[in-house]
Amino acid sequence: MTGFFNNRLDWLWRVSLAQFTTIFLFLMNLSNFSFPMSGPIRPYFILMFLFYWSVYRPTLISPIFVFFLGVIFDLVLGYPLGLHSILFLVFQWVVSDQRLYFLGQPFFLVWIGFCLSAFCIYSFEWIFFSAYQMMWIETETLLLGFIFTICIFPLISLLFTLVHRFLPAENKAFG
Amino acid sequence: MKSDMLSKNISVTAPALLLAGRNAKLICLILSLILFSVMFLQPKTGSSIRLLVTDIVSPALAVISRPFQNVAATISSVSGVAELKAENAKLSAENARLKEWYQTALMLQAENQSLHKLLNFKMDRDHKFVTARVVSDASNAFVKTLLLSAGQKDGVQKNQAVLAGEGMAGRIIEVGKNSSRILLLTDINSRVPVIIEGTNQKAILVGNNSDLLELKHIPDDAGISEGMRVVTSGHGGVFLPGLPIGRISVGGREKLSVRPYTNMDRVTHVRVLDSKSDTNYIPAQQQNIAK
Repeated sequence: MTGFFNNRLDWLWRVSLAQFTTIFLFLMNLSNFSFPMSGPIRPYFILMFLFYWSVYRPTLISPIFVFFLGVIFDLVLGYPLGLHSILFLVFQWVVSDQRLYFLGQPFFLVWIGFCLSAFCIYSFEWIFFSAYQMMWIETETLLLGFIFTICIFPLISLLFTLVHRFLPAENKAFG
Repeated sequence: MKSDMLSKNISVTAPALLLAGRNAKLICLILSLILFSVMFLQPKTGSSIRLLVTDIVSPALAVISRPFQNVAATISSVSGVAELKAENAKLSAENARLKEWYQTALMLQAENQSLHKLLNFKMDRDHKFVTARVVSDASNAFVKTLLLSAGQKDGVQKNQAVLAGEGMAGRIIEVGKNSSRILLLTDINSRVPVIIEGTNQKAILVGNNSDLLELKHIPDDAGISEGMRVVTSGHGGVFLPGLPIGRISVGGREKLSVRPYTNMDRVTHVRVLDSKSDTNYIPAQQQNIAK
């Protein structure tokens, strides 16, 4: 009985560590850093963890979780409600459909995959907001944000790899 | 018996299956599309939910942003040491100049007071304000808003002007119980009636999601030159007149723009001005526009 509870607690804290890292990065996307240009060039952490976990541990982040992340993201940052739920869900869907291709590939190829999918999200947002505001939004800061996001992805992946090692095996549920 | 058990099994596992795998993705996607369509057609529907969520999330954001703000403050103080000598010399020169101005100001103050007494002039009260911390920054290429840690409970109201650093940063557009949202002057939806000091030329200041602000409705022969101060005109009754905004900057092809006094990227604390504390202020809805 004690063994069962120990196993269960062990499982819980390992999964919680991964969830905590994810939620922390999500909140980092919402917080105020007060560094120069911190707003426009802030890395898109949400895309990073969605991509990483969709490829390496798709069961960790459920679509319902992603839906609520999108809703909270829109509510807090003042975007049209539902927009980022759609974007994040489609992103997760597309990436998890391609996960078999990414698994076993060298990291460089996974990185290229992230760059392409992040580029699609940035482009969609740019087109959407340009249409929404009825004027072309300048791409300079957007490009800076995109470059910063793809440059920082290897570092965040490293963090996730460490967290991933702590996670219990995928077929192991509640001890 | 077997079919009974099977149907029971199906009824138990159906919701679980529905929320798992591809079905869950599809359901969530459809939900998001419905949400997006409803909010797009009826934007006001979501405003109360938005305020509720920001009220809940803002304390967590305040905790997370605090270490970053402390780091930023430390970096800025460390980098400031190198510039200290040059700044000291500059401040000494400025101090000497200000001492001269101080004497002039004292003389003008005495003269002003005696003239006020002669005219029986009703003095403006000092502006009341609420100081609040910025907990979330949505300033990116698309939207320029900030989330504050003060709301209705602290006396914050919609459309109040927000000052940060040396000048105006924006205005309150949403107010929750414990949080509120500022639309920065740099946002594409921001419109502020202004006046250019020295010329008395009125204009509309428009944000364009960049660091510089645009001036609209300015005649070619307005006599505006680089460095002139831009302040709120008070027209429309939303903002108090005379709030400092920035200075004129002349770019390529003689294009006029305004560089705000406030560095929008580094705003950590703001002052929300209570317009009602000004006795000369008349809110827009109380003005008889028909007359």
